[in-house]
Parts: sequence; structure tokens; C-alpha cells
Amino acid sequence: MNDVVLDTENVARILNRNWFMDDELMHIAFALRYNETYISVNRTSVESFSDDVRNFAKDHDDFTFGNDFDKLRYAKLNVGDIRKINVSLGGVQVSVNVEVEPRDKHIKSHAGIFTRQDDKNIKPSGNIFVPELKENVSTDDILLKVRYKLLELSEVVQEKI
Amino acid sequence: MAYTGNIQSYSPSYFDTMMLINSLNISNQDKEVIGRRLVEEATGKNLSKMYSRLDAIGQLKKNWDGEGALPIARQTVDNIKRVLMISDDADWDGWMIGPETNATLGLQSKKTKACISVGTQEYSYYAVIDGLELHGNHLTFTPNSFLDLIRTIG
Repeated sequence: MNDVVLDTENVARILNRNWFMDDELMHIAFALRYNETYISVNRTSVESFSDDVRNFAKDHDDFTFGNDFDKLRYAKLNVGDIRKINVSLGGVQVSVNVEVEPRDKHIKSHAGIFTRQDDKNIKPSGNIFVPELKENVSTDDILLKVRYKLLELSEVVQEKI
Repeated sequence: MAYTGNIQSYSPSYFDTMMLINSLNISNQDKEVIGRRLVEEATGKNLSKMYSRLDAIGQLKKNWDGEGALPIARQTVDNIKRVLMISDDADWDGWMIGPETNATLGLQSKKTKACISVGTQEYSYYAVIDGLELHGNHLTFTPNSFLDLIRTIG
């Protein structure tokens, strides 16, 4: 397995039914949980991708779609476009990257979308102190802007499980 | 069905509701205001949809996503309901609402793609309207300020 995620690759964020309203995807699909440092995605070019996403959907009811719940959906994003996301808010500049993130050994396509200030991962419910302004910037607000940008880049794909 | 004092099991008809309002010790003018308001909320397409959506989201249990998501805090659901109670139906045209994993709610405008995250006490938002970036961070929630936001960025 190649540990370097190329700009030309695509990644897929497997989607939960509750993240849609009127069949439209919402920014909440890209929210980090408390203490989470990355958004889980799967690399579409890794051989195990189809099996990985299908197995995940089969194990998680709310990630199935259709009248017979026999379909899954994912948001497809290009890695190069993700890496171009540039967010600055209140004097804080952050970058967004996609890296391999080993999870369970059998999920070979797993990767993470990381939001960082310099080399530091940004997590929810935190604050970043800006010395020049003598102010704190909430990480939640930075991450909300990142969600907005990720949603803009997303193409929703539906497939049979 | 007459109201017996146990609100949990009370599912009044429209007629029962009007009778209940009529029995309140308030002026006829106020009764009329409440009655009209109820009709708007029951028949306004956008308001009805939002109430239904909130009721469904409010029933999500712990681990609703199979990955440890928290149920939505009741206060947060009630916050939005308080906004709905003072809203016009048109205010909510094109708005979507959904659960976030940390017990908060996320809202999004179909028209402008504006994003809001709201909790029990505060809310934050991000939008780009006519090329201008608008954002607010950890603002204290009040129904009126939130309704102003919905009207501005939606």
C-alpha cells in the first residue's frame, strides 16, 4: 500500500442519512467529534476501497440509503483541491491535508483529512491564542469554515452495496 | 380528549386545542393571537417541516451514528423551537437542519450555503454573501438574535 496520498487521488467520506435534508448534503458531514484530530475518509484508488466502504455501510444502518437500504453514499473530493484549502480567521492561518491514517488493519484505504496550524492538529472545543492581537480564536470557528470549504468541493456519489 | 394534567400522554385535536386556549384566563385578543399563531405553525410549509425535523432529531439516541455520536441536547432543540415560535414561515424557506455528533445542531441555507452550528448557550456561523465573508463566533443564543441571523444569511 502506498503511504503517500497524491494530489491526483480522490477520497470518499462515507455519508450518514442524518447528514441529508431534502436529499441535500449538509456541512455537518464534515464535523469533527470531540477530541478527534481528523475527518475519516477512504482513498478511492486503493484496491480495497469498494470492499471497505461496503463493509462499513453494512455494519452501520444509518449509512444505508434507498427504499431497501441497499445503497451507500459518499462525498467524493479531490486531494489536490483539499490541500488548496486555505483558511484564515482572526489572525490564525491553517492548512488542510490528507494523509494515510491506519485504523483497523483490514481497512487499507483509510485516510484522514487533517486541519493544522503549523504542525499542530486542530481539534474541536479549543482555543488558539494570537499574540499580536492578544485574542483567542476558537477552533470550532476555524473548523466550521473548513467544513464549508469541504462541502463546496464535494460530489455526492451513490452506489449499490 | 380532555386534558387530564399529564402532558406526556396528551395528543389534542385542533378542536381540543382551541377549547384549551379558550379556557385560559387571558384576554380574547390574546386568545386570538395564540390561535392564529398555532394555525400558522400547523399550516406553514417551512415551519411544519422544521418542527417535524426537530422532533425526529430530538429522538436520536446515544451512538446514533454507530461511532459514538451524542444525542442532541434537549436545550438545543428547544432553542430552535423558540426561534420557530417567533418566525414567519418565509424566514425558514430553504433552511436545512441536522444533528452534529457533539450534541449540537447544524443549520445550512440551500440558497447561500451559509453554515450555522448551535448549542445550548451559543452559536457560530460562517457564510459568503455576495463575495463577502461573514462569520460570528460563540455568540450568546437568544431567539431574536438567531432569527435576525437566519434572515440575514439565508
